[in-house]
Amino acid sequence: MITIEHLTYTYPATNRPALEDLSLHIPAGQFCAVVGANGAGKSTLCYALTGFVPHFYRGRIEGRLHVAGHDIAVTPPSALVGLVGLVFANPFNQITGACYTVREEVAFGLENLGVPPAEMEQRVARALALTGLTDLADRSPFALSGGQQQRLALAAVLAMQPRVLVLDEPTSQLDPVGTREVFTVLGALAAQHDTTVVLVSHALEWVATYADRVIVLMAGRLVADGPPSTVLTRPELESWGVGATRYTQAARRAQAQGLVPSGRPLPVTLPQAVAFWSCASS
Amino acid sequence: MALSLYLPRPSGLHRLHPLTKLWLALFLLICGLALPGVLGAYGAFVVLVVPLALWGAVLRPLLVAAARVVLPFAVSLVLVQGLFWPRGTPLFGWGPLSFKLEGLLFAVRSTGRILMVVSSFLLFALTTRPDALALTLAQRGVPKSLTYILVATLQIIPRFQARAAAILAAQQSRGMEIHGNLRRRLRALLPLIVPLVLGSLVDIEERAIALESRGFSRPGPKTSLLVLPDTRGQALARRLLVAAGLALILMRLWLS
Amino acid sequence: MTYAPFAAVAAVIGLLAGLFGEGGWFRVWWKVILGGLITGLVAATISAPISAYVFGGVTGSGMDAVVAIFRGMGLGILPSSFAQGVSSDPLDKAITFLVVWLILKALPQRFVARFPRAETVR
Repeated sequence: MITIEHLTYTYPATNRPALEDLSLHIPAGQFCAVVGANGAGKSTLCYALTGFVPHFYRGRIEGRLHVAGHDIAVTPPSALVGLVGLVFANPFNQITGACYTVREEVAFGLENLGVPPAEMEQRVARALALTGLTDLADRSPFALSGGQQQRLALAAVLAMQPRVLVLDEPTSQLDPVGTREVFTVLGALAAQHDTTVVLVSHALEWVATYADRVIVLMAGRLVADGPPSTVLTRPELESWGVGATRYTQAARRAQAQGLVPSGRPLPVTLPQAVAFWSCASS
Repeated sequence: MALSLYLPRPSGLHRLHPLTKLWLALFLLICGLALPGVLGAYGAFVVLVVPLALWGAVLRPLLVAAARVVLPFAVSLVLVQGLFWPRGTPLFGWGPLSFKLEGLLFAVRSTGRILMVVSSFLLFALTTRPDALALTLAQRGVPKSLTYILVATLQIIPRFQARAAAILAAQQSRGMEIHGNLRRRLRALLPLIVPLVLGSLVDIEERAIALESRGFSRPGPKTSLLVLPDTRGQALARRLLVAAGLALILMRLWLS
Repeated sequence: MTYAPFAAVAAVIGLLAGLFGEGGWFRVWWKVILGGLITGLVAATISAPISAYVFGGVTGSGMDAVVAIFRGMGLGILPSSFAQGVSSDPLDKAITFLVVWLILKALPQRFVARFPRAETVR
């Protein structure tokens, strides 16, 4: 679904590439999380997958980048609408401002795709149900909480039924309640395995729970790639500016203090942590 | 919350097609400007605007909003044109500073015109959803980028103001002087404006990306969830309004 | 909203600002001020007839003292309205243009470079 080969991209008026010699293949239906420090190139990757790099930001691009069968170098974002969806951090900025109700906000993309009204009603209703917004359908988008607005942004993109969903830190501006709301929707989406998801997030516990695969970026380069249980327990994670899940941190400290025999695999999710500690106490 | 004046009411005027109301407002505007005599515009206000506003259940908000706008003009007109009408007939006052008959009549006539300009606009804005207007215009071939600006500014400007207030409060809490003489205030302005503008530009850039990824500038036919009911009667009424408006303009040109 | 009749004036101001930007007038400070003065003069010229015909020549603000002075000097409504515009608009637009120019200067280069034709303002 996504094929990247030796991709190097530099923003205009900068010297250092934001992405450097990046190669990556993401098969259809995979839930792939991207982690890394600020400035590692995560957002740039998201914009590249949706065509805004290089078509909106301009700058220099080299290498190959194919998404859903399209060569991004020659495909503007408008040609990817409906195929690739994008959700980013700021809930407010994703509200079009052109719509007076949540329902119309979700329909906005479908209107632009020319979806017939009857089908539009259905797709809007389904997206609202999936994101738990059905009861708020007639409210003003501006009257919603941050978490609700972010689910609205998600609903608006999901209604377009994209084959690839790109999420750039969708919960970084939300409180724990809003974060849970958004990840609950992503969990439901991951369970269906029919959308390819690329998620940039610092919420490692959630990433570990839902992602099939985690890649780590540092200074525009790919430094680690693999399943969450392997990547998120790597000792170098701290030096990459990523940190570790609470479960891994607690388990690692317990091993260091000799409370738990070393060599036992470190947990990255709550169930793994429960297993880790129940073995420890026995 | 939003900047729009729209007041949802279950009225017949609200249910009219936006285009009908647009032509109606234009016709009222022409009435206000083209009807002859000092009191012509007031006649149109009493005979047309007041009953229509009653029908739309928005008479009170219309009167309040119109008064707020028209009064400063009325005061200015009476003072400027009433007192300083060259070679006018003095009515009352003190020597050179006296109210002139011609000036006061002009002030009354101009106030009537302004009242009609304002109230025809208000009648439309109070009873029409901005997004319905935008859809109407888009369906008539107005570029979507223009109709988008129409609706989005109404919703986003209050946010802009809120951000300005927040930045101002932040600068004040760090001891910025917002009172005092002009130079001091000018110096205080730059730390307010630059983050405001930069923040807004970043916001606009993000919103542009969000709009693009929802197909805003995608070529090809578009559909709409919102359906605006129209009737043959309204189509006929619109033609009559256009004809009557043109007739008024011609009459005005012929009279003068 | 009262200023709806002045929409044409606002459109012309926007158009002129765009044209001056395109022509590279936003590179040097004195051209910025000159562009503002010209724009103000054009704005005053277009808005005077609208103000005189629709609003009786007044603005409903403190600037009407200027109109009163010109009326007191025996000028007609349209000339007084124009004179009021000429006495305030060019200065107003020159300051506005200058503020915009200062803001453009203060914006990070990295950000400005993303815009197409960024070179016309630097």
